[in-house]
Parts: sequence; C-alpha cells; structure tokens
Amino acid sequence: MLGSLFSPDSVAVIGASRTPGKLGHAVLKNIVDCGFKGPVYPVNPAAREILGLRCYPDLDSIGERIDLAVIMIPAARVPEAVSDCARRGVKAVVVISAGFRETGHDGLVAEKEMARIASENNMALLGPNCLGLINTRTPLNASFAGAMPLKGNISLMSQSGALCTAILDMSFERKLGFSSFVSLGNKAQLNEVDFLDYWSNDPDTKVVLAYLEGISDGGKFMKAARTFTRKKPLIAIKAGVTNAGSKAVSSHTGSLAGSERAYEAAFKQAGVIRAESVADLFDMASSLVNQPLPGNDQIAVVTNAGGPGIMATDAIERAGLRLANLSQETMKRLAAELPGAASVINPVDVLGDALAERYRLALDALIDDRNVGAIIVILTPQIMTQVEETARVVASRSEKQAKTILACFMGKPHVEAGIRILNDNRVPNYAIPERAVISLKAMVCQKKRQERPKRRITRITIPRKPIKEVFDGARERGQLEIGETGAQKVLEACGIPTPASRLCRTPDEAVKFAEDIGYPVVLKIASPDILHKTDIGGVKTGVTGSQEVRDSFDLLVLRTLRYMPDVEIWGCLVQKQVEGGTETILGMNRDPQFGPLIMFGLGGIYVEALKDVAFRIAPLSRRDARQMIEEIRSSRLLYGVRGRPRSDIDALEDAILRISQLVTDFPEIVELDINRLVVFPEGQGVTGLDMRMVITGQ
Amino acid sequence: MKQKSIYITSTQTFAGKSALCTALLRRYKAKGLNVGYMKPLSSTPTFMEKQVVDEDTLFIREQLELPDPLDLMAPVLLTDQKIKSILAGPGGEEDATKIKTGFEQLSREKDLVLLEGGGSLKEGWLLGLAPPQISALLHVMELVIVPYESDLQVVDDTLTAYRHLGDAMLGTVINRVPGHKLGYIQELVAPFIEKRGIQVFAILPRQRILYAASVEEIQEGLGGEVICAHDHLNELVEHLMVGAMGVESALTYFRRKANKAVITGGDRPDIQIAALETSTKCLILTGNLKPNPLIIGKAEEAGVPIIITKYDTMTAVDIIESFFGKTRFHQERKITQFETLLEESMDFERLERAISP
Repeated sequence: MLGSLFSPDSVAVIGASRTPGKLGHAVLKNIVDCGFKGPVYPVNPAAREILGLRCYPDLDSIGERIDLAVIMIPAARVPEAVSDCARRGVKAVVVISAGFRETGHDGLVAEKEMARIASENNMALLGPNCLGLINTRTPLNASFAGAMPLKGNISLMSQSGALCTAILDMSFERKLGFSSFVSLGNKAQLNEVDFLDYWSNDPDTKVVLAYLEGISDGGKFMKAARTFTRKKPLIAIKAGVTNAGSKAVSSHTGSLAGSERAYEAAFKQAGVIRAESVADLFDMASSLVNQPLPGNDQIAVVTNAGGPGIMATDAIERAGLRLANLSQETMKRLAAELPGAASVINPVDVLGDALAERYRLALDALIDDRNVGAIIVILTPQIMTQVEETARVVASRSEKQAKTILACFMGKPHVEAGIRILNDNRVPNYAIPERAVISLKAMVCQKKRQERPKRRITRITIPRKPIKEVFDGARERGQLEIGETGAQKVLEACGIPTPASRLCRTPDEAVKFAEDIGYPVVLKIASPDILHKTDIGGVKTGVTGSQEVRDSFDLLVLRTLRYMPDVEIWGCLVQKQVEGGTETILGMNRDPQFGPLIMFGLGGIYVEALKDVAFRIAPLSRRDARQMIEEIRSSRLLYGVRGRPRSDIDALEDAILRISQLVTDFPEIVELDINRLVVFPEGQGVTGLDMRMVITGQ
Repeated sequence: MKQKSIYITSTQTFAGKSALCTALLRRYKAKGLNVGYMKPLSSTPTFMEKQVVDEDTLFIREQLELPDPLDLMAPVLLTDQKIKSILAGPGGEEDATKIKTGFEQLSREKDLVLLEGGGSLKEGWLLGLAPPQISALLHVMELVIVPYESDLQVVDDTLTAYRHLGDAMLGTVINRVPGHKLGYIQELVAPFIEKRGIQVFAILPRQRILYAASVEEIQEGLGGEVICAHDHLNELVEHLMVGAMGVESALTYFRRKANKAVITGGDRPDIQIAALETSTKCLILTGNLKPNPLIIGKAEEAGVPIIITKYDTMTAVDIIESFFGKTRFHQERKITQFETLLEESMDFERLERAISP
C-alpha cells in the first residue's frame, strides 16, 4: 500500500491551481520541478492547462491509471474526492487540506469517514492537515516544502509539518541526505506504525527520525519499534513532556501527551533512541547514517588540545561509555612515532603543534587496536595546524576502515574548510566533544540493541473467576476503588502471598480470629469509603491480647466515624502481623498511550523522598523484571550489603511478573498499588500488604 | 368501590414525596385502578411557559396521562403575591374551600387519589393549610416520609410527626438509609416505632443515583451554555470533581469516580481530555472560555455535554453543591430505580389494609 505512496507511477493533483502563491500551484510545481518521471494530471474544472500540463475537469476524465492522488481542495469537498479516488482505483492519497478534527465534531466525522472509505478500498491515506511527503529516490515532492532535500538514507516523519520544513532547511548545512520525508498530519489512517513497518524493509532507509507529540496506539507502536530497532536505528523526539508542554500537546492534537515516565520506559524497552532537541536529532542522525556502529563501548580520543581532550574524557564517562584501554602494542607504537612530550595514554595528545602527519600516525595506531570501539578526533586551530590536510587524513581513514570515527574540529572560521571536507566525506563533525559523545552513546546503544537476544514475554496463568467476582461486587456498589479486603483476594488469586487475615464485623469475631492465628495482629478499619487508612488513624499494629483487640476495634470505628460521619463501616480487618524483611513497593498506572506502566522500588522513604523507582510497560519478560530490580539506586540493599542478608530476589521477580500478567489479563485495572511488598531473606518469599486498586466502570 | 386517598407528607423537604407518589400511582394504575393526584398547596411554584405552575404536578400529570385539569390538581399556588396579600389580610379563607371542592370534584370516579404535601410538616400554617389541617379538612390519612440522617433523628422526627398528626397518621416510610445502617433500623428502630402505634410500611436503602442531578439541571442551575452533545442532557451526574492539578494527577483522580461532572478552567485542555478519558457525564468549563475545537469534537463523539459558565471554579462548585442531592425526580431512570426499591422493600398489602375503610 505504501509503495504507491512513495513511488507512484502516476500522480493526480486534485485542486491544482494556475495562480502562483496558491497551495495548489506550489504542490504541483514541486511535483513537476522535482523531476518526477511519470505522468502528472492536474485536476481543476476551471483550467485547461497549468504549468504546461493538460488540466482535467475531474478524475473520471483522466482515463488513465492513477497511482497517487494529492488532494488540496476545501475540506467540505474532500470526502467526496477521496470517495472518487477509491472508485477510480487510486492506490494512495495524500490529503493536504486542513479543516478536519481540528475544527470540531463535524470535521472529526468527515475525517473518520474518509479514513473508512480509504481502508475499505485498500487505499493508503496520509493526512489530512499535513504538509505532504517527499521521496528523493523516485523522485517525488508531493508537498509544499520550500525545497527538495539532498539524497540520502535518512527517513523522517513528523507530527508537526512546520518542523519538517525547518529540519529540511537545516539539513543542507550539515549535508544530511534524506530518503523520505513524511508529514503525518491528523493521522486519520496512516500513522507512525505504518511508516516504521514500511521503512523497516526499505533498502534506502538506514535511519529513521521521528518528531512525535502523541502516539496513536502505544502497544502497536512498541511492537513495530521493537522489530524496527533490531535492524535500524530509530531516533525520536517526544515533545510535550513537561506539565506546560503536555497542555500544549493537548491543544495541538486533542489527545493526552502521555506521561514522561511511560515514554521513557517504552522507548527503552523498544530500543528507541531519544533525542532531546532537533540539534540532538541531527547529531545522532549524522553519525548513525554515515559511520559504522562501534565494535564496543571503548572510546579513544586523539587531540591536539589537552583541555578538550579532558572534557571529552569526562563526557565519555558521564555517558556510561568507557575510555578505551589502549593495548601495550599501541602505546609502544605511539611512543615510538610521536614526540616525547605527547601523551600515549588515552586521550592521546599529539600536542598543539601537531601537523596532519601526527594525526595520521596516531589514527592508524588506534584503528589497529582491537580494544578501541570508536575514535573521536579533536582539533583546535593553532597557527601551524593543518586543518584541511588533517581533515583529509581523517576522511581517508574513515573511508577505508570499518572503525567508527567522529570529528570535533573546534572553532569557526579557521576550521570551516576542514569541516567541509569532513562533511563531504561522511565524517560527522561536532562543535564540542560532548556532542560527539552523545552521538557515540546513541551508536553504542543501537549496537547493543541489535545484538540483544529476542525477548520472551513470561506468561503465567491467573484464574479469572475470583478476580472478576471482586470487581463485579465493587461495581454493583457503585465503586471503582477497591480497598484492601477486595485487593487481597485479587492478589491471592494471582499467586502473591498475603498474611492470614479476615474481615471481622464485631469485636467478638475479631478476638476469636486473632486467637486462631496467634498474636501479634494488626487491625485495620474496613470501609469501602476509606482507602488511605493510616491517614485517619485507621490502623493499629502490634496488638497482643484479647482486651487490646476489643479496645482497638472500638477505637478504629470511633476514629473513622469522627473523620467521616456518613461512612459505611464493614468492620475491621484482622491480620497476622508481618515482621522482618525489606519493604518494597510495586504498582501499576495505566498510561493513556502505552497502557500498563509497572513501577517498582524500595518502600518507605526510598520511594517517598528519593523517588528511587524503576518503570516498565507490561507485559514483561523475566529479564525486564530483573532489570527493574537492578535498576533502582538502592538495589544493593536487596542484594545484601554490610551484613544484611540477600533478599529473595527470585520471589520479587516472580511477584513483578505476576502483577504484569494480572494487569495484562484485566485491562479494567487502571491503577494498582502494593505499598508494602515485604521481601524476606533468600528462599523465604514475599508478602503483599496494604494494597488497593482502581478499576473502570465497564 | 369507595375511593381511597392518602396524603403523603414528610418531615423535611426533598424527602422523596414526589418519588413515592409517582411510583405508587404508576403501580396502581398498572393494576387497572383509576388514579388521581393532587397537590393541595404548592409552596414552590415556578414560572413556565408564561404561566405559574407546580412542576411536580405538571410532571405527574404528563407521566401518568391524567385527564384532570392542572388548576384542579394544584389549586393553591403560594406565590410571593399571594403571601403578601395574606399577610396584609384579610382573606384567604376561600383557599380552603377551593381545595375542598377541588378534591371532591377530582376524586369523583377515582379508585385512588394521592395528595402530596408541601415541603414539611412545618409548612402551610400561614394559610391554615398545614398537613394536620388539610387531613382534617379532607378527611384523609397521612403517610409521613422520614429521611434518615442519624439514628436519633429518625426516631425523633417520626415521634414529632405523630405528635402533630395523632390518629390521622397512617404510618411512615423511612427513606435513604445507608447500607450499613439497614440492619440497625430494621432490628431496633422500626420495632420501637411500631410499639408506639406507628406503622412502618417501608425502610428504603439510600441509592446514589436517586440523588443524582441531570446535566440539564446543572446547566439550569449555572445558567451556562451547552456547546455540544445536546442529546445527552438527561444523563445523570452522581459526583462532582474539580480539575485543578497536573494532568497525571488528574487522570488518577478522575478514575476514582464514575458518572461525574468535572469542573475545570476553559484554558486547561489537558484536564479536559483527561476527564473525557474517564467516566464523565458532563464537562463544566469556567471563565467563559470556549475549549479547543478538537476537544469539542471529542466530547461530541463521546456524548459528553460541555457547559460553558461565566463563573469561576469556586463559585460554580458552590452553586452546584447547593442543589446537588436536592434535585427533582423527573427522570425515567430514577423512577424505575425507585420502583424497584419499593417493590423490594414496601409492604403494599399492609398499606392497602391500612387505607381500607
């Protein structure tokens, strides 16, 4: 379907105009000027000829096969035009016209209608409300962008059409070449997932850049991105991550921006490289498209300036990369070939007076060193520095060798000529070492991503009936929040142990149960109206005798009634007191874009004050669960530190996987908290305490 | 068959009188009885379509397709004008005559006539038409609705009513009892009241939906403009939530309640969308700001009316809260719900025996 969109044999331009300056004229002119080889059919009942092409009153009068139709007539007439295209067997349409969902309900209905027509007729539809698309291979420029990009291997999709044109314009200076450019518009039918799937198998696309404000279907996106990033890098800017930013996204797209944490987790799991700015996007794209991926994460630096060399070293370490340990052989070779004052330890300092030859010697030695995964070549312009010659040395090494080389020629007018040579020879240059390192980091991540074994989702069978009963009961009472009594039943059904407990309606019942399970016990007020029991003093721990049980029961009821006189009280939950172990927290919040976002961290102050938690989107693999445990900063406390015993990590991992399965099986759970999941020393398991959940009405 | 009448009154306003009247009339009409309805004294008449009417009477007349003329069904409307003229005196005696002859005329050929009392036992003394006086005037027995507020109040209010009405008190219906109090009322309170010679015909549990306000009522109360989903104005709102936080907390907050109205600023598209993502029956936007067309489209699609109000959030909340739970009964969903409740909890045979001559 998308083949006809990018490489049509013929194009009809519905709404072509004779008047320069009008959209219908600009797009037609772009199609003609870009050198499109097939027939172009302008459609306009009022014109006989536009830009030297015969003009047709309507689609039917064309009489030839039409592959692609570009539509830019007023919104009211667009659905009919799409319908005509479908009838005429057009394979793809680009709707540039605006005036759809962004104008209100009528627009939304019209938009859905044309998407339906397109899908039913197996026709691809891009837009509406978009800038169009460009393919440099075909070549085809069916857009109102100001220019045609350079030919290359980057493909770009953007939810902001205007950003497309800005990126296009900026790409000339960086000499970045593109394969295709897509402005997604309102995404009535085609969205980011369709393009990822297409570009995944497109030999002309090596790297994909994406500017996203919202994702149409988080689950599908993750699936497509996972497959895609195994083969090629996907670099994305996710805009609208702050409170103010997300408000802006809501007014731009009419959807929720999705939480920052969910995006971070989803991108990490799907191997999407995240760019913070357009500058990042360019930096990363130019290294990923022009250079081979590094063999490992060890970086060597060659520099004629001590300071920038050290700054590069700091940046490398901060990014989680390693400064390469040069082999003995390399160091000997460097010592023999470079002046005595030069540093032969990484960063390799060839000294301020270095000419191109010294760079050549150092580069060759580093290229031969198998420890080195990638090289950053730093140059500052001294009076004797051979900027252009050095650039040529770097370019020639980059061309011949399979090792990753990035340049950092620092300065402006005095290094310009060198940078030009580097750009012409596919060696990306960065103004400062830190930016080169950001790109290297992206490359190393991509390398790891491609080497990572395929993940396997861990599946666990959870009985549906007892859980459904709890949910139905709550809904019957008109409640969406499920307190401890109900939540405990759910956890047990899902195989997470909870302490012996019972809902007791009277103090007598409470005493009897307490004596059965043995002291000490905990009493908690049981009311469907009270979820945060501790906040109102609704919990009594360490109760050790029958009189204390009676007193505590009355006290908790009294406190609750004082807090909320209208409250419904079921009684008290009497629970065996859990002692020892380490408190963790396990929860889930359903993200509007990506679905179940699982959270894990150490309980108490670690989560409250330090926000030391890890996030992943369910369903999880066993490795995902393990990574969550290891990722938190306080994980050493779980693995045993300073005489503390190692916790039962396997049981913890199992509990995370069970919750992942629970929220996958029951999409109606929108929130879940086990805010104390106590983990005991190795071999002794976990126990869930203090849990609550929120479900949807249906 | 001799015609039977019951005068339904209550110990306070918004106790469920119209609900009980409607449900009983529908029940007996369905059984083939010729039924009638009258509100002898209307203390809160409203101005509708160029005339002053009693809203309950209008509603019940339409609901049950009753043939009697409106001015017979609600003969005395207590307008400001009327209050002034009575205070200035003399006069007012003709009202009692009007009610008496009206009742005689209306009850002719009827098998059952229900009379609805004013707001409470305290009403009507100004005209000499308080519940005890009406029951003496028309020779009808009174069924008193006592809504639950506390354990003590239920007992005291019932005994106070008995004190006022004496033998004219047919019995009581205890309404709006919270689920966890049902056992207490059934096992302790009702037997205590019965022992004092007052029949308890029903103990009705509290149900949220019965106190819900329709979107239309909210809109009328606020005086705002509805800009979309006009065909969803009869949806019932059970909760009111204010959206004035970050979007993530908003989503968490909104998920907790179903069938709610959300009040937020017209300039908060993120909150508006978060509300639309959860079970929301109505969006109230303050500050007289129209939302983004994208959101109007989304709300229309989801069938959620958006009300634009000129008030700020605090004022809008105050206004809505002032009438929440005090709304009229005029929605089919509420009526059927109440009918189900009655069928489950009311001892109809006992009631019928009680009014048999």
